[in-house]
Amino acid sequence: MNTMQEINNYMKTEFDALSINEALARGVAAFFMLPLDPDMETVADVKTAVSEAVTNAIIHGYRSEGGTVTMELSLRGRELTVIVRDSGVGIEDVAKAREPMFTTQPEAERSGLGFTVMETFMDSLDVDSAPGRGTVVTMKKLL
Amino acid sequence: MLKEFIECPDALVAVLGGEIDQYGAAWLRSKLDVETELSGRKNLVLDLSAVSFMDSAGIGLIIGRGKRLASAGGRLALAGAGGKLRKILELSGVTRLYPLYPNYRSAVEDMMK
Repeated sequence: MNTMQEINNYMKTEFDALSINEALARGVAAFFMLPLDPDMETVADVKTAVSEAVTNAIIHGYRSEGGTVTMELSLRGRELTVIVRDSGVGIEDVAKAREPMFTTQPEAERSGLGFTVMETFMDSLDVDSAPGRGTVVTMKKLL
Repeated sequence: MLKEFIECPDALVAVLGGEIDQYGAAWLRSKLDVETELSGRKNLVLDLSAVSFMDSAGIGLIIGRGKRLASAGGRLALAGAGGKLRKILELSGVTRLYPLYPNYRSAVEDMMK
């Protein structure tokens, strides 16, 4: 594989909002990056961030009651963009939700670290959400 | 996800493997709680040496077990977490709450003191 060549690529996938699909989503993201031959730590970072975004969509967006999660992946040169979208309940206060250790489900042993992990493991994180409007999480990372 | 349990005199060791996410954590949580209770041990060591992936659901699992053990007068220790897990363990602060040992044997030895 000639990794010197500029790679522009895009894919979109939709799957049921089931926890079993968290592994599928991060696996797809890892394979999508493969042509750029990123190092192990970068792959692990992206897999973890994708897992957090998809888990949030399933258990918070859809409150584990099912729905459809959309994941878009794009590569522009060495920049990876991941968009995870749900049409669930949305987030009332995005700034509050992004605070470390904040969780609406302490009884479910949620650590409240999802957004902190996405923010730390990726280069940028944008969260667009409103009650009843679903949530769109956009993350970027230079590979 | 769960490879085996090892019963030591002062602690139960749970050897975990594979990927720990929300899907796996829910099952693992009840399995660990039931086996800890059945073993009659107060202390639990989570051997993470064969875990290849963990997200914040795994952190929730660790903190949850730690609180549960503490409420019964026991302790939680972590062992064998490789480079892949170090970043999320350190970010979450769990290594400041629960000691991290190079392997489960050193964790068990320390718990016997």
